[in-house]
Amino acid sequence: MNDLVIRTENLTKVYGEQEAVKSVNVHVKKGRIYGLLGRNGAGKTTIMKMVLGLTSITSGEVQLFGKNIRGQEKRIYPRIGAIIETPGFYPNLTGTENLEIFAKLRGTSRPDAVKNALEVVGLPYKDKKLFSKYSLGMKQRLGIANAIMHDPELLILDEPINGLDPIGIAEIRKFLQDLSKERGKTILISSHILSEIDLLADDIGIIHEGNLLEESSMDELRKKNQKYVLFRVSSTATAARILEQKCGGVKYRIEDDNVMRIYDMDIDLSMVNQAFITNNIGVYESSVCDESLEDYFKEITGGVGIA
Amino acid sequence: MLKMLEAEFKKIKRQKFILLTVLAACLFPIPLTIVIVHSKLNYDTLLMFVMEFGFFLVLPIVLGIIASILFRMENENGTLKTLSVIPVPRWKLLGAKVIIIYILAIFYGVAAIGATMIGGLFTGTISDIPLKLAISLSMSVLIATASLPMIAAAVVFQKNFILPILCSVIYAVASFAFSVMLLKVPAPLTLLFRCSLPFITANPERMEMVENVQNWVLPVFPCILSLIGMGTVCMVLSAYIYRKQEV
Amino acid sequence: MNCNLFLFALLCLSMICALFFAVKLWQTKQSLSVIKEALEDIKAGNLNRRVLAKENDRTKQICHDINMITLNNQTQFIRQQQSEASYKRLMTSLSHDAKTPLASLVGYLEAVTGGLVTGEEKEAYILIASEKAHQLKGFIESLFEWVKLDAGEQTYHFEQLDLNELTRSIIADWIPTWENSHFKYEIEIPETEYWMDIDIHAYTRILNNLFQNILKHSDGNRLTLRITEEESLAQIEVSDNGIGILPSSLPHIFERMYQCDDSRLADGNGLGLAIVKELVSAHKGKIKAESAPSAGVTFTITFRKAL
Repeated sequence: MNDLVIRTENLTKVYGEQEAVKSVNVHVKKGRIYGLLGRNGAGKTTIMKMVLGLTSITSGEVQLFGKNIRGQEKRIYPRIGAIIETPGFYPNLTGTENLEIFAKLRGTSRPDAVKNALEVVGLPYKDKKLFSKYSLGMKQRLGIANAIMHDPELLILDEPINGLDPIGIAEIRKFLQDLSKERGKTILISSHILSEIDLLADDIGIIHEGNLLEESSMDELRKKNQKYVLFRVSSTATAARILEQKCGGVKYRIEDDNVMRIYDMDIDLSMVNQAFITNNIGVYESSVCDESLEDYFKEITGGVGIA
Repeated sequence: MLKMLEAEFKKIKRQKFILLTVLAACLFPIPLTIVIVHSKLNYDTLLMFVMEFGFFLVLPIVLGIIASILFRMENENGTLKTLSVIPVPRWKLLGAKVIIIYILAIFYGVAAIGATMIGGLFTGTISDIPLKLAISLSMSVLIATASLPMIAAAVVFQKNFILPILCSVIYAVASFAFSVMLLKVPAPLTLLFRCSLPFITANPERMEMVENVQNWVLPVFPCILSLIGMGTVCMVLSAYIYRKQEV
Repeated sequence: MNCNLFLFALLCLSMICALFFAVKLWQTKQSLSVIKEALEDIKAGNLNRRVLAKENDRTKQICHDINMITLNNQTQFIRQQQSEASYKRLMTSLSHDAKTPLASLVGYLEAVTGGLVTGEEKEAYILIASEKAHQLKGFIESLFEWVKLDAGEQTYHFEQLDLNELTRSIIADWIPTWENSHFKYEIEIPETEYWMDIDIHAYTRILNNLFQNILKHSDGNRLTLRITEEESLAQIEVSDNGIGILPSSLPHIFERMYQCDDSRLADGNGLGLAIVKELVSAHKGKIKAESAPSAGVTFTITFRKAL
């Protein structure tokens, strides 16, 4: 089975003289949340638009569910829910009326699709309020309702938390996580906020000036960036005893006979090292891992950072 | 396609301008009736006025404005993006909007003539109701066809509000001016005027007497055929441009 | 002439009918092919696939039914997967939990047997080693108990006992411990008798685990136990004034191996409350926890008088 839901191959977009997206290879795996991280204008929206076929591709290829979308729109779009830039609705209609139009045109997966979608995002059904009177947060919610109304396999959300208040952000985050973890939906999300991607995504792609600088799983990045001291010693059993005697109550974990991690960053490392050596424990390696994600991004983007 | 139409009708709910024009179409003959009662013109003349000014001048402008509203509505609010990923093919969207414009045109035409007839009841001289209604019906369809170039303009300039409206005003006014001056310019609306004059005039005898009018009038069928031809070209072109436009 | 015209009209009419039915047939064929494609995908294991139906499609009911069946299957599948995953997590953390104290125990014993320490220090080492061994024993015992509970192998002996009297006797055993660890305690038990079906071991275990939990994790210095009794219900309230539990953690505290401290390095094994919950439900009772950060925790157990 093909596990890549979205795959792009050397995707390039040129606007006039300017290369907005340069040979990008994105791999979105099934059932995972993929975060596209980049500053405003880095090319995130252009990539999403090309993936959805909303803008022409200068060169390269996009595959959705293992198929090229051209000529397959009718078969592929119903499996996708999307918000690109601002959610597009008719201002002279209410939220329910708007969704009913789109439900009519798209078809539904269940009889009460509109009502259910509004309930999920916490908007009232059959409300009299016109879309033009909605707050930014409500507009964003309606956009999400429209994107999930037909229970699609893939969600493509461009900056979905823009304009939401902190509580709203947390709600949407939880909701997206549940969709991914519990329902196995695949989500491609873009944001310019590192902490959001950090909290939400399983995989991350970092876009900077049209280039995909890095693509990896968040776990791997976090592992690189968790704060701990790693000791490679001759005997962890002895080391554990020494550690407990010298600094009681220290948090540590034994990996195997030779590797242990100490999670307290405020202990005196030289003292620990000294103690190990005087007790005839061979210390082969001790390394401090405390680089934060931000530092890391600063490094790979050449100093300017992400957000 | 039926769904598209239904959706299109839902979309124009609460659109003030469209509601206004619907209201105006119904009220339009009232001032005319007053004018005619005051200047003691007969019912046929009243009808001719409504046909000439209402159909050849006001209706194309109104249709142009509505077309620009319909297309800009999708563009301005980004709903074209939402529709594109449903997916709704652009030619269907265009088709639905054109049909809406035709339906509105027929409604305005019949409403205007119907209301004029009510006006005619006041002046007391009313005749040939079915014929007049049939003429008004076919006239509104033909006017809508002759207005298709303005829909093309609305598609091309959908990001702009003033430009397509300006285009339709210039188009309608210029065509009307050509017609009144009896010029032989091949604008669709003028062509339509030239071939339909014998049907809408209030005093055919006079028309037959004046020679340059006689020369100016065109036969019906070739005219209608060329109108349809022009309309088709406009639609194919707009469908092509619409499809190419990115959101 | 008239007849010909009539025939011509009839021909036109039948042509229109034929065209109409041809279009309908083609549409139905299209929607059937969409359904077929989706069903193949579902059969291949993609439970996220939905079939969308437009309002007046004749296949609408079929599509919606397929969607409902798939959704239900997916829900079940996900539940099963979750329980499998949590079992795996349990196994990994169990091995970690056993490894860390065991390694340090070995370390102390090696120091003793290797002759690194002598005299008083040696005694102290042995004492520590024995403490660690007891800790490990405790852990393995509760693990064993929990596994038995989880597998439903535990047998209960319910007998008519006085809840108030039994509670008083359990508390009596705890008072020295509380006094040693400078805990203030407040006990409110009615003077009357309240006879109900209790398994004496299970009930003792419930209270012991709750008290232990407070002692180890609450970081407070006051403990309250209050029993209120009605005609058919008895309510036991155990609360502390400690650090409390984060709202995000609260729903999970009765899950096996859940510990609020994410690094899971705190003293304890994450089984205590899971066992409490199992035992309470064996009594057909209910337990809930209420808390606010830094305002302590209140556990409320409700028992029915008659099982």
